[in-house]
Amino acid sequence: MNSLVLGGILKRVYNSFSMETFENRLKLQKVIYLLQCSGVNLGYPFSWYLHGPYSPELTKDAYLIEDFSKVKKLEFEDSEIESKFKGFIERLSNHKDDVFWLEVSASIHLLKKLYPQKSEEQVVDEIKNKGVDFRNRGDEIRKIWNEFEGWSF
Amino acid sequence: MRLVLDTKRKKLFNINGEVFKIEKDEKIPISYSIFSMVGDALEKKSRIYRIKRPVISNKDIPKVRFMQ
Repeated sequence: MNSLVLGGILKRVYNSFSMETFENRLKLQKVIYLLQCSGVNLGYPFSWYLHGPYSPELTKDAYLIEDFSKVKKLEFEDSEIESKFKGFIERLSNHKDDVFWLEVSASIHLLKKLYPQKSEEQVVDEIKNKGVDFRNRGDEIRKIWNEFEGWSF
Repeated sequence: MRLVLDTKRKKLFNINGEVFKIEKDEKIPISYSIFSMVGDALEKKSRIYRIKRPVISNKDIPKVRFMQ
């Protein structure tokens, strides 16, 4: 993957975007992670970090996007993948600016993949222990879990 | 500062139907921070040690074209 392609894909999700804020960088990581989980592989490897799935390679490519306003939108040549991407954009539309939702859903997915033997409650506890922002939000995390299970991964 | 130890992770794991190989423990050098998570970690007054990097093949990355 390169920054031009990444920018062209990202522009389908966000009309404007910059790497200047932590919130935006977090959104980038979680959206691309969830996109790859939806079956659109952009080739970024993710590991578990403080804020859930994170790819340094993705960060590097995103920093190389010089002027997002000039980035041209891209589509996938394969109609099946393009269809998956459109479905992903649609499902994400209500959440794409909700950093809590993005971080929790991506974290749920990665933790479930890493530790398939863990129960829902154990995964929720793991997320609650990520930091003070999550500690008292167990109900919200469970709600996201239930909503997220409707996504076909 | 929060220390993240990831020692319990399995050597192989699966994401998106692909099996990833864990190569080795890795520390992120400070000089790498401009483009890396270290910047974000510092922003949150946290630092991360001992992450593990999965390996992924690029061969299946789909082709793209400009939208009409």
